[in-house]
Amino acid sequence: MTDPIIITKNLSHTYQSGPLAQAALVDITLEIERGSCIGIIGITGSGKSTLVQHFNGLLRPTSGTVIVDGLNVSASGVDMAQLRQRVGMLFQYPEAQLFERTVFADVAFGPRRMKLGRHEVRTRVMRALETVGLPPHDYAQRSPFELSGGQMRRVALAGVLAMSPSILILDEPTTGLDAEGRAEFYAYLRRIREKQGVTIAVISHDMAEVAALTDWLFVLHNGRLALQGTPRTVFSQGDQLREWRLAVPPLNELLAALRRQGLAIPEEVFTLEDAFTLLQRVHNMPWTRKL
Amino acid sequence: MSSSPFIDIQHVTYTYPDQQSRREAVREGRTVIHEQDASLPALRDVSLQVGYGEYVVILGHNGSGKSTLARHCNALLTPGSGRVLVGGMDTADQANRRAMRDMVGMIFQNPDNQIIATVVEDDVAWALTVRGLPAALIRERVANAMTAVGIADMGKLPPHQLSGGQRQRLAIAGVLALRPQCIIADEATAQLDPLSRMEIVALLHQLWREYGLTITQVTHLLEEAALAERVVVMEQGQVVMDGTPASVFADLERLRRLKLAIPEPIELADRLRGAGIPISQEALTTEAIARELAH
Repeated sequence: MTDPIIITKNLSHTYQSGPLAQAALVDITLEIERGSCIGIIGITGSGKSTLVQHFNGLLRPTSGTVIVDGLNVSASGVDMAQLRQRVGMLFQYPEAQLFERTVFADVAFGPRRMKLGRHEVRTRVMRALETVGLPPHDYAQRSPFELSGGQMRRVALAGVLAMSPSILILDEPTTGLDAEGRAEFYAYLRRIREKQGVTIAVISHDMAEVAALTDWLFVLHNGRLALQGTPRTVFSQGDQLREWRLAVPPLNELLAALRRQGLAIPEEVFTLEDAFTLLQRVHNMPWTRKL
Repeated sequence: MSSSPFIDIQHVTYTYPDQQSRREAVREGRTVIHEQDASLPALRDVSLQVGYGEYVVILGHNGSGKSTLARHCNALLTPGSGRVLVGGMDTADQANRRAMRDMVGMIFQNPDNQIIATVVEDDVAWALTVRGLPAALIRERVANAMTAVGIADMGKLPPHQLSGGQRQRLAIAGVLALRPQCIIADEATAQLDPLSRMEIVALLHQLWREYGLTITQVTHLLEEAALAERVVVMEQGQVVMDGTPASVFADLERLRRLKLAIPEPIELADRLRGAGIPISQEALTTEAIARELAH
């Protein structure tokens, strides 16, 4: 990999509760490329949240090294304020954390705590609101609580963006949103990545979501990095994933079922568009259907 | 067999006492609703009949009124106007409440809200104990209910050691132990991972077949609706579509306008059909679509 923004080497984390020690992460070595959008998948308890909490210093490794954007998280003297400013984190149901009287004040909360000048705060808030599709002249002075759920979630996202992070970590970003809210949220994420070069890490149970958004996947199982690769290669291993109690996206499920029935479907076929083109051709030229 | 419906919803309109409590009700379900939906009554002149032993899915996006409707079916909410009869009893009549809730059991998004006891089997027994049934009968019913949902070997465990899917099974066992005629599952799979979700749906279908229960399943997922006998689609507090899954899914454009996500296999089948490739309207599951495409 040419320019990793996050590097972990032999990262292990053990939770200590009284005399009981529980290994949450075991010997994780990975690299996340700058500017990429990666997904972290695994069942509840597989270590996903524990892993990303090392990326912004909420947790320190029990052993091993974590380097984030040049900062050594495992070192004792690390500048936490700087680390947390570079790594923005959006937790589950982030709209529950909105609290200010206006959208502007809520988004400005983080930049103000960074002790930026009034003018700089204002510029950042305006830009962040624009980025998430809430034009400031319509939304800045409204109460966040009178917005729709999808909009509230985007206010929370703007609050993180206003800190100008180089890495954005999203924990189950679209649960509870309907199809429309989801599609909008994805569109804004793509824009943030393209326009601002932010590296994005998504934790999600929704396999169709990670297949659509990410270009690299890390699969965690029992606290270990069990598999990594492009969504295409990871989701081609349906049997292995099911053994870890993970599902593959519905479309890949269908393609796998067709392969089992003897249809010749190349591994490159991954999107709805690919599948449509191929199946249409198979229909028109039936001699291409069998392996 | 009675010819009158089991659940009979007649011209029901319902407005939450104030918008604050509506928002709270919605937050509790951890869903997220649209502004325009929040300004209308939650139900607007809804009439719907569900027969004995039917498996009905109520489908709709967040804030469409589907959960509000479900909560009228066992008197958790009572109509502002109109009326609801369950097994012939009026839900507005206080005297019927206990009988009605024994008859219609409800499970919710978050099973933890209905888990009370510190050990699984005590939790299943809870409602029976409260009703003062004899100990031997309670033991028998608890054992049967735990077996029916597949947690027979977990009786002595504390509920927090169960996975999300297992805790939802526990909630279903608690309802089953009361020997209901009907189970209402209100977004009962929304907080589960995909595999656990399909297992809970499979369990509801199994209980429907084996015990002849009436099942009303509230969801926003088309893949869950595909397996029902009948699908009722709600939008802005009204029933806007009602029919077999095949007939409802025949108009994907309309479902998309109703802010429902179309699963990719169903969308692919629809586009292939449009391109002249024969796939029947009844092929709605991944397996069924694959079978037809391979032949």
